Amino acid sequence: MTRICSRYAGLGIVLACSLLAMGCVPSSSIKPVENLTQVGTGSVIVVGKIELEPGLAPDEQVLGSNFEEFRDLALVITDTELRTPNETMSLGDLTRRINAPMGQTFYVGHEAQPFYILKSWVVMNAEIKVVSPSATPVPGNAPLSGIFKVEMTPGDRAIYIGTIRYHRDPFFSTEKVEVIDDFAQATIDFKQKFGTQIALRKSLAQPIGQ
Amino acid sequence: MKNRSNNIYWVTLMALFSATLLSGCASMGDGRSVDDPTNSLVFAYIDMDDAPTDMSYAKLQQVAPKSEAGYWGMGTDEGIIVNQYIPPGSFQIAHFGGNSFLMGEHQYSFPTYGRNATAVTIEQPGIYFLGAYKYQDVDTGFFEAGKFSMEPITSPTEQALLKTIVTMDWVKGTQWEARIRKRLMELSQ
Repeated sequence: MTRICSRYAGLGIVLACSLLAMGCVPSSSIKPVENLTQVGTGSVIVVGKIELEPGLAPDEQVLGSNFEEFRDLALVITDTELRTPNETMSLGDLTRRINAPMGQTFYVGHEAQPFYILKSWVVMNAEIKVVSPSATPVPGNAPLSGIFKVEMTPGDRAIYIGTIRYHRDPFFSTEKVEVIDDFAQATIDFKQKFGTQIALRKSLAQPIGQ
Repeated sequence: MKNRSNNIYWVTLMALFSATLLSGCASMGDGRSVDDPTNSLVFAYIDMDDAPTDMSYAKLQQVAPKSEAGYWGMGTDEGIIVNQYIPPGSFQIAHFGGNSFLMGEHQYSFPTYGRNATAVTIEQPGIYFLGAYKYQDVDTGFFEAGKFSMEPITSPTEQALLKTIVTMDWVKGTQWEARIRKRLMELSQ
């Protein structure tokens, strides 16, 4: 919960800007993988999906034209160390994020170490606009609550972490999280995309906390 | 010159709008009759003794069903915040604020997304107590935005607050006289 002293906002108008609006979101080192040549040694293809139930309504995200890339996208922060995300997150953590198109399977290159999903969210409001000093700042992110552990074993080249389905209530609080195992279909899709040169191993994300 | 005039007009308009918001003394019914039987009375209490300012306005966020305005103004009086026009739906306190001569104007905001302690889902018209809380500052770094927490308190009780609300001017001659007294009877049993 935040407290804002508006006398510092000055008279007249201020520019509403966030990290997003200032273009400060760093690019992620966890990139989508389209073919095996993009997967270096020491990297593993992580395959999974993020779902939200009920899904986002078409007009639910308010995104300016510069921020359309965040539409229907879950931002998923990972780290090889377990941390309390709310107390220790920094801008640098955004360089370790999976950009997961909502409801679509993602294939990303991740360092070949067990990791944690520390925090996930959806960008709900991102636009540059002029507001009055008394205007209510609308926080831009809706959290998807849950911390998960993903195991890896030596020799893994591709792992399937499952579909993480977040159930939300009308307040956009996470009521329940399911990790759905659709490994059979994921394997078929993986072979179609990457061939049979490497195998996809199941290593479902394990919920370990809120 | 025209631009400057426009700017002055715009700033004046915004100042008037802000003043309306900050006056905070009137609950806004959004065109609903105070005697509409589908109205619910929603109220809470915030002890602002340790806050930088008093509380002169509060807003209730309507999260479902979605509405164009999205927020309901709450009447404020000595820490009590109340609105007697609330239709069925899901709501929670979104922000409140006030000002003081020394500290200036402050706004205190809950996260927009995610349920907070004041969240309520109204399916049947009634009287809904969102709780009594004490404002507490949370230490932050010098360059960080101020933060606060809302600690639940056991006093004043729902009953004590309703006894105050029933004496408010707007209650007289409305359905709320009987409905509040009925609720007080229930609480005293």
